[in-house]
Amino acid sequence: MLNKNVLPTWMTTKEDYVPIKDNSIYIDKSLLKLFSLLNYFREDNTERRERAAEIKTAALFLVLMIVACSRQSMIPIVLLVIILVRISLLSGKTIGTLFKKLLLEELCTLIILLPAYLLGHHIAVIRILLKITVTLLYVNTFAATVRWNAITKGLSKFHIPDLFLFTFDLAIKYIVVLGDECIKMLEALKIRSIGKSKSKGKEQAHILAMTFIKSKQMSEEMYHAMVCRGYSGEYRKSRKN
Amino acid sequence: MIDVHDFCFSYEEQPILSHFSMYIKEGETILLKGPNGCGKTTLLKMLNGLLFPEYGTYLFSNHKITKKQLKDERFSKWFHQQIGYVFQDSTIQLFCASVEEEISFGPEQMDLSKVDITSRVEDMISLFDIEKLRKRAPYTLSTGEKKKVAIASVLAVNPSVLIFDEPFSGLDDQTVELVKALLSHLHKAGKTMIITSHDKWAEDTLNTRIITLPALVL
Repeated sequence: MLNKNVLPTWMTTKEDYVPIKDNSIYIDKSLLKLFSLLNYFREDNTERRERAAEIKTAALFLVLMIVACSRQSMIPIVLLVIILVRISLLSGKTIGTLFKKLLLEELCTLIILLPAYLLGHHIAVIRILLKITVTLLYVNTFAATVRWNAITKGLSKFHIPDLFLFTFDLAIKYIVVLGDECIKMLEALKIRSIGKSKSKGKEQAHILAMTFIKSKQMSEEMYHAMVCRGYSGEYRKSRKN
Repeated sequence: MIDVHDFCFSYEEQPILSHFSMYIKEGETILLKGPNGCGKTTLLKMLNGLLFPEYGTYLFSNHKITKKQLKDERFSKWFHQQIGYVFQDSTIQLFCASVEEEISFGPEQMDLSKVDITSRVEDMISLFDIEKLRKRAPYTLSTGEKKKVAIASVLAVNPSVLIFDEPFSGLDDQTVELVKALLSHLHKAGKTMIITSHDKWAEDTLNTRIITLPALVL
């Protein structure tokens, strides 16, 4: 039963509340960022295909090796032309996302390489930029066109240990699960943010702390569930013919 | 007080709500029923301004609630003070370092005086008999204790509308009785309440009006 049989007086009267002006737009921005990140991991991209994932995975590793080892500019240029043709077949939205990401990454690379350029190593800088552009385009296009579970399926054909693949799969799954939990907490914070917050940083820190605690609890529960189903330290994936 | 007209909402091309309308008077208690997956929680989120319908209008105390309207910070804060939402999973709405801090979070935002804040916190701690939990971190509490703290933290801002999403879910008998007693008191005090529950108690005891959502998902 309730400790008292009567509610406090202030609860039985209408609250005449006039909010003070305060900026809590960071909650909406955080929510938007999380939604777009989770959509990416939820494979909402209809361009992702499972076809020949292992061939695509092998081709990606081969391309990365070739780009890293090449000493001439001709090979990366040829590979750049091939990937640009591939990208041109994707939807406008995907192309936009790929190039937006590339622009940001290129900017970071330029800032890092600026001292070398100023010291006179122009050719080397251009060659490195070219290699990085090719590498990033291949990796980002691969991520945009191959499903996550197809990547692990592809990797399993190369006899990558099952435990590594299982850990990779779990990591993807729990990014989505924890992202969802974070979104729910941010929504709860949003509807409780009814006035002037004295410590926005503290609120955000609390959300992060709770997400960390949740992840720890979930990992423990998952381990217990695996033990209850016979896991004894060795992970074996079932092989279907 | 709450006027929902012709709400339509779908998720990934699956209709969840289709031309749904309802009107709730001030002081009324509504029991929202329907099968699993019929859109009860979705509707509650729309009433709280967390989701918006693809079609339809929502009036709260004669104010039109839209995405654009809620971009006005001051109006949004007033709106969220007026509607208190107790989530089905209390864990997600508790994020402060201690129970005391959790309950005082809302009143502190309202810029009340220190005396008023302390008075409200003490009233809530006393009402729910959670003195021994005062300094504890909410994530260390049991399900029932979390539910008490979640309700206390929502009531501390004194909203005029209270929404309870499955308030008895996962609770022991003692905590269920406490929540039932609280709902009775709030009903007598004239609070407008919307409750989703499969428990027949609300139907039989609180003189509730029942609104049933049909299942659209096949």
